[in-house]
Amino acid sequence: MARRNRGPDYSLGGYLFLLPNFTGFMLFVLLPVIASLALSFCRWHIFNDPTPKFVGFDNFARLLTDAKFWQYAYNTTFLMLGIPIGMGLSLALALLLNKGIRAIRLFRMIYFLPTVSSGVALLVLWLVIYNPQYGLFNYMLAKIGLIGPSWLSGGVEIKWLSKLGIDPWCYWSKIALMIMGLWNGAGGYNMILYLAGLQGINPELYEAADVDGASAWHKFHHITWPMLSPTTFFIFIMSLIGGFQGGFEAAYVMTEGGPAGSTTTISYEIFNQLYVRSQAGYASSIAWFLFGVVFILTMASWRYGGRVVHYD
Amino acid sequence: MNRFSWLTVLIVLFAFAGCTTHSEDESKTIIAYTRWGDPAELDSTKELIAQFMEENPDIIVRVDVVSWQQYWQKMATAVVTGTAQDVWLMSSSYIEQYAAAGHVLDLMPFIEKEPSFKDDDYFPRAFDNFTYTGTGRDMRNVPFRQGALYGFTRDYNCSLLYYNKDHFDAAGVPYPTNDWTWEDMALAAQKLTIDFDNDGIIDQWGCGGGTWSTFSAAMGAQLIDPETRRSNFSPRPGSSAIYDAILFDLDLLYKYKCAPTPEVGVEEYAFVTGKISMTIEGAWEIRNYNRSKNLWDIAMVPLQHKDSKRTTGGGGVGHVIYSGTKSPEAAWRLVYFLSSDKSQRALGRSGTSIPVLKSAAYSDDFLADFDRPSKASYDIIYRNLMGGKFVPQYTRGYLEYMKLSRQLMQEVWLGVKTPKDACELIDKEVNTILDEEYGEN
Repeated sequence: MARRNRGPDYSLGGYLFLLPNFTGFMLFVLLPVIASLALSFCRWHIFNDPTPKFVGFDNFARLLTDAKFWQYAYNTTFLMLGIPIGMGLSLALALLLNKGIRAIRLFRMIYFLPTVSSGVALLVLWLVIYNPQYGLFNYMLAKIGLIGPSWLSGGVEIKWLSKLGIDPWCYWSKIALMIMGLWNGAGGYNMILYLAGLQGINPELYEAADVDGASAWHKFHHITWPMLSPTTFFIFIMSLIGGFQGGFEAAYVMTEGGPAGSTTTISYEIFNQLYVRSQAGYASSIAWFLFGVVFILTMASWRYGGRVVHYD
Repeated sequence: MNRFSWLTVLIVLFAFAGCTTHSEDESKTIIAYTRWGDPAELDSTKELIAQFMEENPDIIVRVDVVSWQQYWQKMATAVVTGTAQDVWLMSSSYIEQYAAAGHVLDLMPFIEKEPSFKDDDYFPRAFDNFTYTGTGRDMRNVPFRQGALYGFTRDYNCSLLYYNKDHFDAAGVPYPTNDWTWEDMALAAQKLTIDFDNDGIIDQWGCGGGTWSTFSAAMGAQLIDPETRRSNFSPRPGSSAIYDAILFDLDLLYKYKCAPTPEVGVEEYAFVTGKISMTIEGAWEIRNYNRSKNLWDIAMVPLQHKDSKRTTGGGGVGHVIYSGTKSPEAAWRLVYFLSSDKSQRALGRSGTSIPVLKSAAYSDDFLADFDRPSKASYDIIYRNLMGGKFVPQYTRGYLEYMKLSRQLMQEVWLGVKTPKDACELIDKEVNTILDEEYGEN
């Protein structure tokens, strides 16, 4: 009843404002996504097959038996080992930048800088840093008496790993990309999220702890960490998703997925299957497989991860 | 009313913004041209296109240039979606794929109508890499005029042995000769591999590595047998050039120790920086290598034995006309112009390609802006184009299996795989790629 008298109806205008974005989303996101789902059940060599041919689950069966694919899946997971370390660094940085020291804004800006820099420019910068002859990295290692390896093209055999039946060749390239990811990511959005989380903690809790004579460690362990747990959980899920989809830029710009396929991740393989092997169908099926894995893991995390999260 | 009037004005404005540009050019034919290249090449291309438009006032050409790496992604998407440019640059390694799928026009009808076209004006074998007979899977590479011509060759390319004369002089090693064998090269390279300050780190390497495919191609080995479409990496009775070349490359690293291993890792342009004394590269590097501070020159690519026969690989890059073009005649005029004397002379000046038109290659314009290589050694380039048996190197999937073999060979250079195992694996995987490409699975 009262609704009629609320004045002019703004909803049409609202929808009109939504329209451009929604049209764009429909045309350039939703439709391609649906098309790729359809393609994942087809064989389509974009040059040789005039039209996609329905092959049922063939692509997915091929994927499960494709040793290369599993190597790339291994690479992707290996690179994700950097996630917890990166989160730790982000938290540490956030704790430091939460202090009331002078020029705090300047420091925050400096740590955030990689995030707002051009991604490709950073990768090219790291190519120079990792140069085995003139690179900054090996130069610094040499200062402390170590001879650095050829980070992006060399490898070293780790005997005890091969005895365990795991990839006997630890290519430095993986480690190198991980270190680079930490540098780029530690001061990024994760740190901002942690900062926001820290500033959202009620200072009275710390005051009460001070009154009780709690040490810094106790305050962190019993107040900061539990109060931050929703943030930590959110960051973890987002990093997990990002990790599964990651590695494309570095592989494309820095390593071509090498040496010997050691930096080819799933997302780079999708690209290769389409643009190098012309297999649009198989590429789509890998993409949907990836989606399935991310979806299941995210669901499982929500289901079981919720138990360790403290909601205020 | 008020609220919507602003919106209406905005919408109308946007609608008009979309249709203000055309109109003046209605009587002219507009064609689009695209090529791969670096920014320097964009400038020279724009100059050439401006000349073309001056000579053909009824045609307007829109140019766009993309890097080599993105070019093929762009073109694959463009032809599949039917939005490709009218004229574009094509590599002989991709032509079969695009021609078999029907994306490019046969140019023979245009050539037959062209009064000024003479076969002898071009280097021999210039058009062979773009000539095919048959369709689909049965398409076969044949000599010029025995089939359809899918690309009009723009430039010829050949591999050369570049050597740093200053390094040779300093070490007292005689310059490479054109009848050098692999071993001659390795022995010279060994003398040029020097640790100047005795710190255990080599400061100057004799040669770069990883040139097995150039070595084997110079002797007429085909990575893929074009008849059977099977991979040829593993040695077979009577044809072991590829395997031998791989073994030789490995020897350069670990037996002669005169080339940097991937572990050492030298920069891409180590020849320019003087980090390596010899390198085998395409003639397209002449421009880049002129940035070197050292005096250098060129020689023929060494062969395995004194009595090995040298072969040639034919023209490398050409222009194609998209089969979906609306103005094939205008497109042809552009294609023909881009291989005409005027354009070819400009190409010859660029130091990135060798003109396919003899008059331009032998003109004063050829490499006019560069002081290296020496004028006397231009003959080495011409000999590469004029002589030798022609052995085609390309099949479908060429760049695909080249990438794969490069990756697997990396494991050989690192010592993870033996050459034998790697070659067997390459054979297996390359055959899978070929089956996929030719639709035999």
